Amino acid sequence: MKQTIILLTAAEVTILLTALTYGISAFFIRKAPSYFKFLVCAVGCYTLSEFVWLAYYFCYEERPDILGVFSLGYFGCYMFILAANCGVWNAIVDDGKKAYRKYRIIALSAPVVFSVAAILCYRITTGLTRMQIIAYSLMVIPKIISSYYNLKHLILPENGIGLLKGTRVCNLMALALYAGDGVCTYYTIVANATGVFVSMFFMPLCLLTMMIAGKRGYRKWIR
Amino acid sequence: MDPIMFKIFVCLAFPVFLMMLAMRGRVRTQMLFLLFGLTAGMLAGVINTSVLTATEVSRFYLTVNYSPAIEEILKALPLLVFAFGRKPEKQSLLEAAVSCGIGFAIFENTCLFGQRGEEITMFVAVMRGIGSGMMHSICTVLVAYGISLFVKRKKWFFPGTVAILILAINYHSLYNILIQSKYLYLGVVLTTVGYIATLTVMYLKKRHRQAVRKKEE
Repeated sequence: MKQTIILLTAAEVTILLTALTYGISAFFIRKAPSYFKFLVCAVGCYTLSEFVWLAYYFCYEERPDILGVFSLGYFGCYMFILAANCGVWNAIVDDGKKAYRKYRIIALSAPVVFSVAAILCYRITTGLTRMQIIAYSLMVIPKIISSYYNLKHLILPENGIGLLKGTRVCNLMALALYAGDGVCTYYTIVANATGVFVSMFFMPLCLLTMMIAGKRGYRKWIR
Repeated sequence: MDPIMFKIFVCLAFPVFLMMLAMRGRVRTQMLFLLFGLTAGMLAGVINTSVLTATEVSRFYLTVNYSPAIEEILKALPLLVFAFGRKPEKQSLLEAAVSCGIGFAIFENTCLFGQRGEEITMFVAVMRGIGSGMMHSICTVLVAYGISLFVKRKKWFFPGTVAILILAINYHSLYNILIQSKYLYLGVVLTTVGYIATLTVMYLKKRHRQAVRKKEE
């Protein structure tokens, strides 16, 4: 079991550091958009929280508390993605015109799905204390709000400047990340190896894909 | 509150306050934030002790999970007031953040050695002195950088500032985990690398700004 965790840890650290290194060059390029810089910060926050978990596990040979400080890192990651989409991107790509109303309505399905999934997850699992439910619920909030913008920016038609094309994969990966987080939450509560696999492999891959796609996307704009 | 903490605070804060009165301009601002850092350290000590008593968790659990959040929020408060009240240049805000972080580290280390001085070896003293100073300044600079970005952009302000604060809290927690384990040298390596990177970025950005100003002239 420990060997499996060591192998998965090595894979996870490699993927996350690759994603972070790949994205961090954006901070040294003046024309790199704030949207992408926020995504890099999201990856940085996620990476740091994984490092906190791993440092605790390997230094003290026990898992940290599920609602320890490292879980704040996931919350921070989703806050950065929310800031990127709601604060930066939404004003550029959605000017509020009536033609986009149907896309806004369709996009509402994402927060509904993630909310229902979170509620089902808590109802199915037993033994959660009230504090744990409150804490998990708070952590789910930025994910739910951000999912609306991610789905909207995924399905909105191109506005002629080619901005949305560069971010569609990023938005898809963000949604995949939220789904992975939901799976992780459920399997972490029931203590199953699937949760370990999803958190150590699937979610870092989503972040790496987000970085690669995002950088390729904005490079086309600044040419 | 442990009376020794208050005595240490008074012994450190008054000389800094007197020095501040004799300074002018930017140096005075930095001295002021050094004083704020010392104050934040004292408040953090009070709050950490209260939380320890109220929750009955172990000291280790407190230092890994609660203390980083409490301390980073306390250090961020004077920076928030400075950023919104005086609207300083980014460079001034970052320098104030370094002073605040260092002030906090000075108080924290002085308290530690005041309470447990005889148990602490020279090796641990050096590791704490270097590591804690760098770690607190990196975390505070990170928060100040975030505040400088978001203060003008109201829509991003709340999610952006909270997210940057969480980044700093996790970094702080990682340092606390390492420094209390048998791998304490890794904690110092982590902060040394981070500090050198932070100073390098600040220096390069300053040079770039000076070059742009020269071109405009």
